[in-house]
Amino acid sequence: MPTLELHDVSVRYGQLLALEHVSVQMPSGAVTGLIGPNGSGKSTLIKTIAGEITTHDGELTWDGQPLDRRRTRIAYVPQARGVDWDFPLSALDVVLMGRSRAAGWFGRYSDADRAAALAALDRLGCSGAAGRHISQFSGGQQQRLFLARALVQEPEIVLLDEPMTGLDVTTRQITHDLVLEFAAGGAAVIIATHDLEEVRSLCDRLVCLNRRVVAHGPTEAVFTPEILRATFGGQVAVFA
Amino acid sequence: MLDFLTEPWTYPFMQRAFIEIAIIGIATGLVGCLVVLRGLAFIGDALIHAVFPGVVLATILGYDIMLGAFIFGGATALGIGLATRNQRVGHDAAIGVIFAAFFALGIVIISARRGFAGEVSALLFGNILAISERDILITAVLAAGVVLTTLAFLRVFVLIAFDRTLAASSGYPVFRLELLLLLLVTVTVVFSLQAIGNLLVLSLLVTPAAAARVLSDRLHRMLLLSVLIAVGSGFVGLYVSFHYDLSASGAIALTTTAIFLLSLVFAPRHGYISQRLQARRGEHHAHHFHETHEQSQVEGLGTRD
Repeated sequence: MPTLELHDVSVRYGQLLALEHVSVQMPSGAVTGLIGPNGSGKSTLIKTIAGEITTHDGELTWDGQPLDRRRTRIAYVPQARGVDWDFPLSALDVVLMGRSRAAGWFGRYSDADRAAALAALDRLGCSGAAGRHISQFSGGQQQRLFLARALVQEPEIVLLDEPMTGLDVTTRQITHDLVLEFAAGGAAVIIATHDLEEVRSLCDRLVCLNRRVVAHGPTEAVFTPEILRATFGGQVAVFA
Repeated sequence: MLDFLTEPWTYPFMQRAFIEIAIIGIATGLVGCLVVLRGLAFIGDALIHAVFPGVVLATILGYDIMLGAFIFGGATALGIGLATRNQRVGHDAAIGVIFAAFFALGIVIISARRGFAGEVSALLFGNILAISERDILITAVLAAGVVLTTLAFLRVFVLIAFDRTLAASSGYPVFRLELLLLLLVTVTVVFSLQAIGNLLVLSLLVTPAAAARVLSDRLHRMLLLSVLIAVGSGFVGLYVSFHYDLSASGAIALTTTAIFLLSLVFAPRHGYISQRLQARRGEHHAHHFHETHEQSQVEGLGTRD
């Protein structure tokens, strides 16, 4: 089973060091949680893996080879509040974006792409709404559009940035199930979150981040009061 | 009434002006949509200012103004692309300062030349009534290149504008594609210069697209509307200019602005009136996630910030 590995990755925004010497392994078939306080570099790490941040030090490998995003299928589920919901797109348009690479640079989406997108919408309980504008969905449904998009990518790596933030119970459950399903299907699933409840029930492994890696490893080994305190700098309010 | 519409067409210079503005309108209307969706209006403005000293120098040195404009515009597009590569760094202020300075440089160069001031207004505000057949040919070739490239990359450009991270994770060379888009904007500005002028290009590049965005929430409809508004405003502006002896580019810019303002008020879903009616009926569309987001904070996350 391939593993996503980060070797000594550092990211700098001007003078600000956002990530410092991050070296971690994220195996496929497992859910890896990225936890840390705000500004700890969770989103930066997600965007570095996604390839949006190209000016970093260090190296990313997948299955021992430098990560080539043209070959490895990487799905990305954004934070709801980072999305421009007034963008002129229908639900189907958003889901089809997951097929963009498969459709090629200039090609049109095939009937198979459309069928897959509609099936994914159907699965996530948004059937019959494919033509509706994205602003007309509730928060939970909007999240499901992005999950449907991830689904049609048939991803090998799944990146989720704060997927549980502000969700209704149903969508939380759907997200939870789908994340486990991605992992069971052999994908390396990486979730940035500060929901510690969710972390324990969902993540096989944890990376505790505070610009540098405070600790990482299997959840049961890392999820301790001492490590959490070291990660969050004494800001942890609750853990069961 | 019919005379009002047909009379301008009896003059060859007006025929050329109509053809020229139609070509420019198609390109600016289309590229403008990507400028608006990607939030590049400010950068478009910066590009336009940066192009000015290039135009001035080309005129002084006796080269085609498009050449000077293209060199300065291309260098600027590259500079902006590199400066905004690490997207979190806000360079807005720096861009604003530098390009106001570029513009000033153009003005200073002009003012140093005696008897040159007369051409300033032509450079700033264009002279669509003096367009030659050769100008139209050049515009048509460049515009065709811009339009075809934009349409070919449309799906990828839209993907980048909507979700840059997914575009990157899908393996697209996002940075190079963004440079390509800036280059398309630059070329569009360059071939619109002579007709519309340095300052008023923005009214054809940004305003029709902004109006179209308010009028429609379907991408293809937005593209079509934007082009129609740009070309339509161009025609209206030319008629007004012809019959009332007013600046053509000024009349065109005011027409696009008027359409934009009308769209803001009367647009079917996003217009002011429609929103007021919806509010009265209690139909809050969209943005449910704001509510649920607050809820989740109340319900208690694992951490405090």
